[in-house]
Amino acid sequence: MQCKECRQLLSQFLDGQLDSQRQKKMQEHLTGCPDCSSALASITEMVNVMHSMQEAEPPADFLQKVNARIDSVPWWHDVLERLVGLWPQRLPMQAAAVLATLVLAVYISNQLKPAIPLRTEKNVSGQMRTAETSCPCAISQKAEMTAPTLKNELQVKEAVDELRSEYKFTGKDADYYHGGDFEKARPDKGARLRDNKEKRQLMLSGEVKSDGAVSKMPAPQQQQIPLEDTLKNKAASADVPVTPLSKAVVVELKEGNFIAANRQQKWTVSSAVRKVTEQEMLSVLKEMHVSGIEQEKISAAEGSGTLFRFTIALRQVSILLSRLEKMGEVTLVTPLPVVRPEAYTSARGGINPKVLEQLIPVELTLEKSR
Amino acid sequence: MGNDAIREKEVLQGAEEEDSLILLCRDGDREAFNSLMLKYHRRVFNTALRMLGDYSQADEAAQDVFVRAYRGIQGFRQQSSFLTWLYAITVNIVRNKMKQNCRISRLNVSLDAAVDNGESSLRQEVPDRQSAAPDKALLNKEKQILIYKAIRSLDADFRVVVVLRDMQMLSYEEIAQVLAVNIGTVKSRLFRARQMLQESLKDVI
Repeated sequence: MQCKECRQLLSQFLDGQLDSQRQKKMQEHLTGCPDCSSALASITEMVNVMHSMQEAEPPADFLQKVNARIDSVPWWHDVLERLVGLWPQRLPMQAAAVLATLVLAVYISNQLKPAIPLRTEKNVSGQMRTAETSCPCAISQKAEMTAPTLKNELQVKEAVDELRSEYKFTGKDADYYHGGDFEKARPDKGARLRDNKEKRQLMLSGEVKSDGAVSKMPAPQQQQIPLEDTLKNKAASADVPVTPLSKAVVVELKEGNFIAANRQQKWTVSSAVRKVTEQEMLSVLKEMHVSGIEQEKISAAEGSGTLFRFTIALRQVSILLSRLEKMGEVTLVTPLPVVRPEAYTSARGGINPKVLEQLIPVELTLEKSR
Repeated sequence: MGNDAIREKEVLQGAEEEDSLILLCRDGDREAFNSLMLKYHRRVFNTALRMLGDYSQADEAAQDVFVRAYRGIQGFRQQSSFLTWLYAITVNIVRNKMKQNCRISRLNVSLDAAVDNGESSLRQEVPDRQSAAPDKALLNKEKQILIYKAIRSLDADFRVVVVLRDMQMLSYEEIAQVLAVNIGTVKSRLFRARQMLQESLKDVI
């Protein structure tokens, strides 16, 4: 392996994204190349510093502000914000309001029109073809008649028109498209369809469903009582069965340490500092290409839970801790070493990759959630 | 119930709990939505903060995320995890704000300044977890500030992959879902972003 290739793969090597063959070639190259080793040390340290950055606390009244906005902001304001967001400059709110009114007027008038008749298109040879679908109209008829989704509908229409003109959907293809199965409609263009960022972003954002329908906006809610007061009322109400800890739940909520989940009128308490689950632990270890994992159930007498034993490379320690920290809590049975540059940097300034690849035994437990 | 069944039940409990909350949200249960918000609002807020570099803008953006999530919960098809969906909304909203602003927020952080109810973007009083001595903690904090500024100098496409990978600890697959790109694109952008950061920080790291 040459240095150029090694440098291009350093990022993936650090994240454990290389297959075993390239991983081995990288390690062999790093052993004999002080320059590349130094580059690895540099990127490792930079990533470690980023991993160690503490998260900032959101404002204490964040939830209240969101709830107040949901309750007080009229449904058309959301549309307005999204429309204004399309342009690079801020519009004065008055101008934006006038524009929103115009857009709404156009939208409402369109809804009153009859369905658009079937369109015809010319193919390359000039012969007339009939598109066996009234796609844009069908989608708009399917869509929920709420203005906050207006922007979505415009985007859907644009996406539909683009697909129709480019791929000349027949009736069969249109069915696939209406089902949102773009790849089945045109498998030869599958990659292109998959990479259509706009449509996929719409899908991911939940603004457009896979069948082309647009999300229905929930009706505006009544003024929301703060969560703490709601819980107090619930605790005081004889109609709702509450656990003996309900009063403690209310108190702890003020400290922000607990959340209360309402499942079918039964109040439960769970800690905001959640325990990492077994599935999450296995998922993290799999992503880090950790093998030889041993699992052992801990008996009830010892506190109950699952004990994990495995070995990881020294360079993976900070990555593992950072990932687990973001997910929740684990209990370290064996303290993990702190990874410092001095540990893997020689006096000459080079790096000994063997040190970074040194295997560290790890023992930790996932305790059952209380 | 055998041990394996108990274990399987526990593993599924977390996912089931969230699914239940989402179902309740779709029925308009505001408390269920508050539970989800409480679970994820720190992550959404910090993603926005690290992208925008301004506390109040991040606060506003994070609020936008959850307002939009609440309004769009009916359309959430659970083709991805709820958190991945939130991240996708966050990235969209933050990108729009960055385009609207067309300016670089200045990150004014004084190493001697006390935390002011969380108004400063970096909490001065919280030591990094690897520090063993005050001088080393200070050095690490200085590095963090410099890295933070270097990240803010990246274009949006590169900034977002660094924030999602190296700060929010998303996997490559999750980042690809959030950004609606393929994994190869994530790999190349992350490589390029880290390369640019290294170039900016070559004299200090």
